[in-house]
Amino acid sequence: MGIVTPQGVLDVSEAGRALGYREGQLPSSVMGAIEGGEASVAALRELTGRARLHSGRSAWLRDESALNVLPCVARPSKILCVGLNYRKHAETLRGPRRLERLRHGGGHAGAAAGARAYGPREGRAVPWAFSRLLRRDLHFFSFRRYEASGDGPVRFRSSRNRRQSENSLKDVLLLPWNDAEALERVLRERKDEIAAVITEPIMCNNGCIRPKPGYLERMREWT
Amino acid sequence: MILDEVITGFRLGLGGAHGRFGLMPDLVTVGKAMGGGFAISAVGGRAEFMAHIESGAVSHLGTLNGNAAATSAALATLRELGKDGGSVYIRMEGIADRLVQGILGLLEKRGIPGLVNQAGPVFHLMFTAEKRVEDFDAFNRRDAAKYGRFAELLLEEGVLIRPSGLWYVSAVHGEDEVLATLASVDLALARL
Repeated sequence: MGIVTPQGVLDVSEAGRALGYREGQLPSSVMGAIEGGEASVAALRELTGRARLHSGRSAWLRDESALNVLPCVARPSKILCVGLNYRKHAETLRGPRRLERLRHGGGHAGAAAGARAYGPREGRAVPWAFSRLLRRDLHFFSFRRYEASGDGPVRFRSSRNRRQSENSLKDVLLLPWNDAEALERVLRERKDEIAAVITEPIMCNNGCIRPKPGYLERMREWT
Repeated sequence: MILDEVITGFRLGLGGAHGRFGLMPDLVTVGKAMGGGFAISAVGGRAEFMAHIESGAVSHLGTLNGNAAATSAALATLRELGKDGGSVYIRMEGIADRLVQGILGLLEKRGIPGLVNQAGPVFHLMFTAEKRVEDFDAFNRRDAAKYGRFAELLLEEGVLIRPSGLWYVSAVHGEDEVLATLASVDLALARL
């Protein structure tokens, strides 16, 4: 496992050995770091602080371009993604308070998002392969979105209809067909937000059902 | 008011359903029948709305917009449909009427409950105990599985129909096709 620092990628086991860490004090793999939770992250952060500017650092700092990235999660049960390719999402997630909550979330999504958002920046301990994983190997699902609210946790949820975005669902009001009263009510109540009424004149695909007398005429009159 | 006439446009008449109903929508979408088999769709409407597209205020983009083969096919189709004041629609509707009356007679003969909803040369045949189907709930009470079986049997008798129940009569259908279809329907219903 390595940690990206401004000086290079820190080889955790090499640095741990050289700086006198005992067996089990540091996680040896990304999975171990995840399972170790806060304690693991704190230990890695401390190691990074000591090791990256140490006089013997050339023994454990590697050139990132010379390394091969291996899968950091050996047996993922599931992979969730965050829309960090959208600027707005990325900015929302970079706030430290929200990151903390993401990390507490504990799932792969939280860990991955936290890893990416913490990024390879100074003083931040992060399993470096995570950031690579996000950059290289994950596909972003456009219609899966997160909800960030005030002090509450960040929640992920997929839209109700898996083929449509929530916005498009919000933009359309569905009414029972042939129900002039329902149409009139909605037109009266929400007239300032309605741009158009669209309908088939005859429900051909559903029984060749004709409009009730006056239904389309009234629609015409009201629009 | 926008009317989606993708199915009904140029099927119920040159003016589609709004022409038959005497309505003037603001915009109307059409497709399918207009191409006579070629893939094409179109939107039309009041000059004041269409002017926004002409001026570029509203962009109307599409990879196949104005495709030469499709628009040529549509122009040829519309020329044929418009001949003699659109008399082909009267003929198509007459053919559909003959077909519908024939099918209803065969259902009665076999004692199979069913009904047909018809709109010009378009009709929907369904097996149902309902006396009228005028809303979606009543439509959902039809025996769709039985109709699927009927479509299968009819195919074995040499006539391919949509298993949904919807039928379209086209300009090339004539008396011979009606008689052949009714003969096959009779055989299929006997085996149902």
